[in-house]
Amino acid sequence: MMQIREFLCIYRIVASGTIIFSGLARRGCICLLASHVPSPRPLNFKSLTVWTKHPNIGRQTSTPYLPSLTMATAGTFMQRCRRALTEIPRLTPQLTCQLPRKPFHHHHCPRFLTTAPASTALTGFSQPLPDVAPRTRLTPLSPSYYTGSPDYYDNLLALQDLLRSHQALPTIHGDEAPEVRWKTMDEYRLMIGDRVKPSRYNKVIRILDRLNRIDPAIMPAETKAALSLYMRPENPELKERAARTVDGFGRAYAIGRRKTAVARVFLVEGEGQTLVNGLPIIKKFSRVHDRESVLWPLIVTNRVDKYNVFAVVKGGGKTGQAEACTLAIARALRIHEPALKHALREAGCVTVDHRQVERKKPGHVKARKMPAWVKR
Amino acid sequence: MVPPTLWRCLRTPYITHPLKLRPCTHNFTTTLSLSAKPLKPKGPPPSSKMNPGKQRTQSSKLRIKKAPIAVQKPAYEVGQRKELRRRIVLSNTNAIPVALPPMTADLVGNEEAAGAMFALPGGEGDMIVDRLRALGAFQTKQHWPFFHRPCTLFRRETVEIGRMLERVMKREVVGEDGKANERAILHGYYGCGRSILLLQAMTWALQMEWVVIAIPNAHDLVVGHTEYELEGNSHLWLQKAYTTDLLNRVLKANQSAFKQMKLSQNYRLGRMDEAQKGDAMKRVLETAVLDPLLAWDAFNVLLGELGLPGSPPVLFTLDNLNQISIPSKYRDPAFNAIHPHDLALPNTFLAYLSGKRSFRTGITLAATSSKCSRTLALDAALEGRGVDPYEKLDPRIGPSIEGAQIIQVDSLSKREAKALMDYYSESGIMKAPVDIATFSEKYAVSAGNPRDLFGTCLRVRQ
Repeated sequence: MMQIREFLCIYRIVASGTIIFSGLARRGCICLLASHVPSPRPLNFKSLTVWTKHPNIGRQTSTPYLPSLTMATAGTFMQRCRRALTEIPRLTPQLTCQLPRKPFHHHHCPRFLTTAPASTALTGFSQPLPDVAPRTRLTPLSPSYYTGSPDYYDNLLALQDLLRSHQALPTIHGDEAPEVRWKTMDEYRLMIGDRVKPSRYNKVIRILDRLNRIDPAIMPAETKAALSLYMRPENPELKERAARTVDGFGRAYAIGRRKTAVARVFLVEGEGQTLVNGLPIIKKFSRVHDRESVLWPLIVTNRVDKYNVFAVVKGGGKTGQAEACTLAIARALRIHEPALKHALREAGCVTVDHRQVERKKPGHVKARKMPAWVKR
Repeated sequence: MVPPTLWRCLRTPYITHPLKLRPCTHNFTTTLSLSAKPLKPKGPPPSSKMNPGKQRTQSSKLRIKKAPIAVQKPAYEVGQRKELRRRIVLSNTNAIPVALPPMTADLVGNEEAAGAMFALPGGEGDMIVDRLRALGAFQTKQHWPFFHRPCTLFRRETVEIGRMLERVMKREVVGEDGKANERAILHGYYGCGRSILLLQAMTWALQMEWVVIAIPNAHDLVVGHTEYELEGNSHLWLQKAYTTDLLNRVLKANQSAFKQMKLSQNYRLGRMDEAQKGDAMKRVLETAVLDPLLAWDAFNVLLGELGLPGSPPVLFTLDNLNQISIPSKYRDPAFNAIHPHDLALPNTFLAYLSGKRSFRTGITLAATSSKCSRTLALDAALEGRGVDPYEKLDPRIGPSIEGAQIIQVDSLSKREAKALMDYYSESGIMKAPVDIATFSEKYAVSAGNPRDLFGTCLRVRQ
């Protein structure tokens, strides 16, 4: 048994009993080599299954490979997955003889989460051949065969199945979910063995995020194992970001930026006084709206009279300065009370607004505006 | 198509006789006027064969009667909009009445009353509100129309003003010349309640039968809307029309005080009139109000009398002090902007404010304004800064307010804000309940500024 990287997928079974392979295989698929098979048999079992009248071939190939495949799989989740796959009636010869009318409706069946080991479990030759086979023809084993990227879709569908089965489990908010770093798109492509569009990758990530939000206390081991397949390995050499804490004077310090303004805020427990650049807030921000912007994180969390704010804000205009203060106060507040992150996010105080004024271009009147067209 | 000019060339030339009338031709037509169709002879139209009477009846049947074009009535009469704009509504019968104690004179300087709401005294037969209205103490945009009756908040600064009144009344601050005077300027951020503090001072003064002279808006003095003339002796510009108006208001508000005031000597009013010793001040002013030429003299008589022993205490107020710290809109014959201190009325007020002139017993109170262009010289003077020789600041501003006490009108304390919010809530204009969360939010957003507090209490959060 070996993994074939470059070539060989499609094979043909001739009536005489010899297997002739023809065409190219996908990268990363598993190929079986058996000495007693007349020719080397690189098989992409996910793509095709074999239907034949000839009894000998099936019997020759089915039995010897299954144990070795069991050894090849890793993890309990995969074992369970494979067992299910081997146990499901779809793989029994009786059901493989189904009429080709509804070939792809297999939602009740679990699917593979990875391509390589699971695909080996599905050797078409592992099936005892049906006694009564109506005709000899090739049927795709994967329901996603005709999608163009069956590897990806099988993977996606398997994840969706997993999600569907855990739909009812209680979840926690994304802000409280354990922090994970999923595999990057390139890593995921390697895993799938096929080109994956960013939008499709995002779909997978969305499902993984959702699965990750299942309450860790009751997260099923199966899900955990599945998620671990998609996680990036931790790099211990990378320094972890130092957690910000309140300093010796009880001050939480944070920076916020908006437009071209930068606000530095010291937040201490107090009785609701606010100083901006050493001035009372009414002197600095004469608009009520700006004052409300500045104090917004404290207002939404009902902490206005619990903290004193000392802000130093530079650059930009009034609105930018006020909203830079918003962000800085929200960050400083999270140092005091990390549990407020969710409430602050709901209030829009966590996400950074990175928009800036677009520069003016030569030949343009403004950033985009062009001078009026003149005939002569 | 062949142009007709070609044919014209082949024709015999058309010779005009010099004495003969030329046929009327148009320059732009190529058709000869003679070859044109002759004009139709004037006569009855071909339809005249029909019965004229019948025709008339027919046409009269078809005629549609046009509605006469009505002359559009103007939406507002002349001056009506200004009247509406300046109308002061002091009560709202739809608002929920709130039972509050009246702001009587015995509360003057009472520290314990600070942080509570009081109603302006306006019961049966009590004319205080009317007298205040006559003085122009109420302003639009002070939210009076939202409440059942005018009520004000008793603040720390109110206590301070009350103490000032007390000191003057008890003559604790008597100068060398036997005159008890207090001079103060109310200064603070926008919407911090300076004008309301003036109103409170006036309320107390009127109840204590003081003479109250109020210039409700100094902007009127400098904006250039009233007539003015130069007075030769003092080189000041008189605003006689405005002074008449001012006297009229002062007279309305202080009827009883003026009734008791008798002139201590003979005075000359204008060129011809004279006021005899022993005349009631009320009578003098009543004559002066009818004639603008007498107004300025009468005003000076009043001020002079108020400086003599035995005269009643005086409260002299001016709102929007900033307006008389920037060049006025008036021009002298050389078309130079007249300095507001050269206008007689501001000059007189500032003389009292800076202590050059003084009442026998009296308080001179000014309030700054935020609705004014920058007055750097006044700001420097209020902060007590000397004028930098390199700064081109008006050197006359600083001395004009010299020696006046500056009362910093601060933001509301939490207690005061709570009282105000409770009042809003009880009056039915603030829908949210006044709990700790709402209170602290609104107090923080308004930063204790009364005007913003009202706004935040009324506003529904988006």
